[in-house]
Amino acid sequence: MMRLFHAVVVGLFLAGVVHVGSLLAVPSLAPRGPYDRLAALAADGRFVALPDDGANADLLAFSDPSFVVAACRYDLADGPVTVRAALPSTYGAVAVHERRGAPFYALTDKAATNGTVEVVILRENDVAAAEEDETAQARPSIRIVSPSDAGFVLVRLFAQAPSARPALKALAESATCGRSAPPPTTP
Amino acid sequence: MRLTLLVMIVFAVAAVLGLGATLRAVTHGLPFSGLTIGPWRADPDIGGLGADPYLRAGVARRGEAPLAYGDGVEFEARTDDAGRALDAACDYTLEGDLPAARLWTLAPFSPDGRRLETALGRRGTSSAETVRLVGRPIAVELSQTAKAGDWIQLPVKGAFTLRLALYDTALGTPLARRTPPQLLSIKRGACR
Repeated sequence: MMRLFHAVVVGLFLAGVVHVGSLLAVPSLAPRGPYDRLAALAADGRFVALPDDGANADLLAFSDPSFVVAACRYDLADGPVTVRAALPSTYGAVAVHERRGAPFYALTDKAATNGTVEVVILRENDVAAAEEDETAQARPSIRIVSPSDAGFVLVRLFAQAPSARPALKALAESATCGRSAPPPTTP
Repeated sequence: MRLTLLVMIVFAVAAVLGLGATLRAVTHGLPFSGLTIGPWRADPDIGGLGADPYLRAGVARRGEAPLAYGDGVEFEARTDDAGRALDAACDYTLEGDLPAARLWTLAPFSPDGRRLETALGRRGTSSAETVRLVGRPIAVELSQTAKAGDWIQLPVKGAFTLRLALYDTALGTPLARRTPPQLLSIKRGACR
């Protein structure tokens, strides 16, 4: 009897360990996380809008139907990535998500200068290099450090009515998320 | 022989309870976390890197890209005010006033986050589309058949989930969380 009691206690303790271990493993083991789902859009290095109908319309779960969403997957292995997007004043946001889907940076149209925002995403190792070749610019660029090498950026534009969607879709897809141009070499 | 049996019991208990707790927490969320207002529930911490492992696991499992902290707060309701699960066979009236926000949107989804297919094709409403009467609160009707006012059509059958998103709001800040405002009430009408 006593041994059975011990067995149950040890079992409960191990259950706690299994729970914590499996919970921490879920984000890396989940086969259909947001980053993996966006693979169907072929949006690596460019913005592609999520369609309103069809199989790809539900790529991101619980995606707000009043918004037009364009996604771009980035990879910082080859250097920093610059995101440039036009955000209309009806409401627009640029959100940067890390590999597992957690957002770590967002800008709304309130932060836009002349209607556009520009954000440079870089790895922690590249920060020092980027700050070194800081030259006088018309406007200071926003640099953010990504916690993971890969990730994705969403441009989300509010559509006041369904008739506004085609134009907003074109606007969202006109956003760019290419490799940052190498700094001009000063003589 | 008895020792082998005991060891097997230990491992069975550990696996079933541990994995069961993980599955339950990931699909339903923790019962006591987040910001709960009536039937509505939100996890404002989901919009940043400070999210706890439970929130992160839920995001990965649902395949959702949650709203960032500075962007907005999204509330979810799976039941009406009386605690009954939302069902497309019933009519619902949502009424109330919303806290200060630049805009809000409301949409029903299938429980796993897909959009609902209806004959009308109208997938939700927002502060730009809804009709407000002077001195009256916001009112939205959810039903399979046409209703006067702001009507969102429900599909033929099945459970559904409501999402109410408030954009550019101070609701997610720790200070605002301590004095939660009222959100829309969800009243069930006739069922067929």
